[in-house]
Amino acid sequence: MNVEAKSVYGEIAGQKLFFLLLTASIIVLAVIVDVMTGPASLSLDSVVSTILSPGTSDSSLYAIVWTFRLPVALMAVVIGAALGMAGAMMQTILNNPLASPYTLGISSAAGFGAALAVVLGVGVVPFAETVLVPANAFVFSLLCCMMIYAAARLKRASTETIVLAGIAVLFMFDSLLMLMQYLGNPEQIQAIVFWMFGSLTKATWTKLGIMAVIVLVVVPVVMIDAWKLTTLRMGEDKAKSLGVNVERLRLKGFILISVLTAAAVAFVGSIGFVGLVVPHISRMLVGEDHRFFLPLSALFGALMLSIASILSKIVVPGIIFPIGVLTSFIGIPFFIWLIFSRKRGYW
Amino acid sequence: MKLEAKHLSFRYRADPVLNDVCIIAEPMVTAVIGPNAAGKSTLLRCLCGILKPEGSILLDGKDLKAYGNDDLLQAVSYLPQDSSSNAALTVFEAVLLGRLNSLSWTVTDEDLSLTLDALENLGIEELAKVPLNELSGGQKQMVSIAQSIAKKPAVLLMDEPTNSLDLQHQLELFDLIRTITKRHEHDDGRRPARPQPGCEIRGQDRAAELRDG
Repeated sequence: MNVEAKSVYGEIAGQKLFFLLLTASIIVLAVIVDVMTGPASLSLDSVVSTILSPGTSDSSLYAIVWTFRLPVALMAVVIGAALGMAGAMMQTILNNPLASPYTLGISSAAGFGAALAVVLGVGVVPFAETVLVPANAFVFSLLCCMMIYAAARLKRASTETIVLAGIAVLFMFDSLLMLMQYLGNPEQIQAIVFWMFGSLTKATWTKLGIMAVIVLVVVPVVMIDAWKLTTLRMGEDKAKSLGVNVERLRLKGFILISVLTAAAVAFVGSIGFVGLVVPHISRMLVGEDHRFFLPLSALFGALMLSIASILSKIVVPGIIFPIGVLTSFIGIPFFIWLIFSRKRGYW
Repeated sequence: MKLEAKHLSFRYRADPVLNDVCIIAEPMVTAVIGPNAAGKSTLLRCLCGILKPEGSILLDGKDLKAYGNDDLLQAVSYLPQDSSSNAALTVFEAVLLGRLNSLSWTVTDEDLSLTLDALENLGIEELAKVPLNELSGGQKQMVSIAQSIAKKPAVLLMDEPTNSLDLQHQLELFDLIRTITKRHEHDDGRRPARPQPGCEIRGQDRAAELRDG
């Protein structure tokens, strides 16, 4: 009996673990390819040896790999993981397949916050670019999250209401962002455009470090609630009767999502589609046991952005294409395929 | 285990649904019946602790509020009326969630074997690896029932458990609930809206109760 139960579950869980490990190893390959591509193509040998033993490689190779390409390649991974996980959490918490940090306006809010700081604050406060801009982006995305959360808590607010409220918020912050562009001078507009397109090129080891710390702190806090989040997918009443404090779980989730999204947007600008598409892919592969679903969403987000980073360098040789444009290019056909190919939807 | 509600009142905003309801559920199976919108589901949601009504609910003579949260969760299991879910989970995983309280990062052998027991009790063990969204309405209902018995509750509150079940499965379900109830002596199954002969309506307001055993 016991043995049978174990083998049934072992089979279910084993397959999921396999997908996690497979995706993780593809990411390692993608990062290496990402470092290899660029204005000067590097060979696999030189990249691997420079990464593994930085001391022994020649100085120009060292500079290209360690100073320029590796922070960008790793930033793609960390940002993608943050956005993928935030999207997966959001879809679970709002019980809605359309929810993502981008479609509900959190990215726009963060972008507006950053633009506000760019137009009003930079040059006034020391370290403004590294401190004030991300901080403002964070505050506004939190504000946006709370607005959506308030809408979600209104009596009998259906999931459609929440998405509509999110879209209203999206338009509001988008128009405020346009207002900022209207008010700003050319340099400021340049900085704002950076937010709107999304770009990994400004990645540095410091920014990467901050972002990595945020992801490494937030992810375990999210994973503590993995079982509860899975239970929430069985319906709110069922979750409550099993002892889940649904309101608290939602609020906590919202705060964590806004931290992940705000940090990501603050460093690389608004990158669409990752948070929306990635959870659907991982749901198809491993289902919604959140112990597997959330990590796989993070890994797929990382992989998608890593591939986008590679493509951004090879689409137009010599020019780095805006990454936010590419994620949409990759994401849209995939998303449409997803919508039309599923036999019986999960939603 | 004896479940007793005294002078229970509950209102959604200004709309009173339960007004001074008193019921006693002795060990064994109790059914609650009443017309549509009588407040049967609301009563069950109050009894399982999701809603906080006025009045008192006693479980074995002890007030619900006096129970620690974990004890209460362990003792009472609630099957919502509309429990269909399109979560991307296999049947086994969904039933496993019924044991949420004892689940930790790794799943224990006990949780696994109780989950399989619940599936076997309902005769749906061959569905274990099937995703929920590939099931029929009746199969989904069986999964929900398995989920609510997986934690071996002392009190099992089921809201319209026979929804979308065919006649044979309805009868089998009643037999199963009786068997489980007898096996655990203390158990108390409670199912609303199942009119049966020899009923005695005791509700004092809009909630009517039918006793059967």
